[in-house]
Amino acid sequence: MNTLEQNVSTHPLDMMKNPCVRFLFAYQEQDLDKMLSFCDPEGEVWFKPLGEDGRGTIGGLGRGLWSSLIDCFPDLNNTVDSAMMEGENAVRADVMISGTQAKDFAGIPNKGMRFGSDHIFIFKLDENNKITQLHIEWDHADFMRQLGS
Amino acid sequence: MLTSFVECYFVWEWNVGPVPHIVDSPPNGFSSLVINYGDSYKVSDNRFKEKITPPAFLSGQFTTRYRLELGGHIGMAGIVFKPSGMSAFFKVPMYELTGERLCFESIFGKDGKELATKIGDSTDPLSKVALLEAFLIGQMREPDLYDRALDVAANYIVENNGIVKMDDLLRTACMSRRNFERRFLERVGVSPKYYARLRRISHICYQMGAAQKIDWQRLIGAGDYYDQAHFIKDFRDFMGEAPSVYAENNVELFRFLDRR
Repeated sequence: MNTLEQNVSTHPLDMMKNPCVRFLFAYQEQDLDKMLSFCDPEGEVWFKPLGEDGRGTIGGLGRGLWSSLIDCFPDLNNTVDSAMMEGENAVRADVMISGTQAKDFAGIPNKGMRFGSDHIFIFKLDENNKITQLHIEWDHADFMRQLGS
Repeated sequence: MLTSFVECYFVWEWNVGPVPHIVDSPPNGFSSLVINYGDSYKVSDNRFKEKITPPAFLSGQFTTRYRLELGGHIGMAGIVFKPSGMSAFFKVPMYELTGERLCFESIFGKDGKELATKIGDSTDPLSKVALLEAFLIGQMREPDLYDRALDVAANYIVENNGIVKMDDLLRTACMSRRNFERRFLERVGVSPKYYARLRRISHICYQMGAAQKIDWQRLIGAGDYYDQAHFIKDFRDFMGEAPSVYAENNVELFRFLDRR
C-alpha cells in the first residue's frame, strides 16, 4: 500500500498539503484523471502568465492545457521542492518542471528543445481537502526562450 | 540506538530580564521537538509576524530564516533530529511539517500532554533528556531499506555542507530518480536538491558568523558556487536579503555578543 495513503488514514493532522503533493505526483505520472480526482472540477485554475486567457475551470481549461502539455512534451516531469502553508487554507508548492518539446505547443513551434522552469503552485482547499482553486506562476519569457522562441 | 536519528538533545534555561532576547536563525536543515515550560515566545518569518508558538511542538524543515523573540524566563527542552530522523518516530510525511510548528499535544494527545507536564515538573536537565529519550524509543518504528538509504543520503548532504552531486546520491541509494525524490520529500520534507542548496546556505551563514573578516571570494569558492550571481540569488532565496546586507546586520551582532 502507498505509504502516503497509510499516513492520511491514520494520522490526526489535517494533512492539507497531502492532496496538493499527490496532485503533483499524479502530474508527474501524466495521469490526468488522478490529478483531477483531488480537485473540484468546477474550481478555478489560473495559469497567470497567460493573463485572462489562462483563467478557467480546473475540469475545463485545466484538463485541456495539461493534456496538451503532456502530448507536446512526452517526457514532461516535475520535482516538488517544498510545500508550505500560506494562511489557513492555502498551500504553496515550489515545483521544478521540465520537458522536451515534440510538437508545436500554444503557438510555440517545435524545435525539439528542452526546458526546465521553476513553477509556483498556490492551492486552495475546501473543508474536505478538495482543491477548489489553483493559481500557477512561472517565468513565461524564459520558458519561451528555452524553447527557442 | 538513536544516534542515527538524533543530532542532539537540549535544555535551555535563562532569565532574560527586561530586554527581549532575539534569535535570528537561518534555515539550518534540522527538524526538532520542543517542549517549552518557560514563558511563551514569539516567532516571525516571511509569512507571519510575532506569532506565539505552541507550548510544545514539532517543527519540520524551515526554508527561510526566522526570528525568535524570547522574554522573561526561558525554559525549554527538546530534541534536534538529523535531517530524516524525525520520520523514524512520527508517522507523517515530513513535507506536512515543512515550515510549520505543529502542536505536540494535537498529534500525541494524552501521551504528549503527559510528557510535557513531566518535563516541566522535572528540575534536573538530565532527567528531562531521559524523559525525551524514553518517549522517542516508545515511538520508534522499524525503518525499511529505502528509509535507511534515504538516511544515508540526507546525512551525506549534511556532512558535505550541501556540496554534493545528485547522480552520486542516486547511485548510492540505488533508486530511480523519481522514487528517490519522492521518498526524500516524504522523509526529509523537501527535495534532495533543494535540501542541498539549503544546507550550503546554512553552512555559509555559520562561516559568516564565525569569520573575523569575510573573504567573499573564498566563501563563494568554498560553497562551490558557479559565480557570484548564483551565490547571491541562492542567498536571497533563503535569507530574503543580499549577503552583504545580512553580514552588515548580523555579523556585527555576533561579534558584539561574542565580546560580552
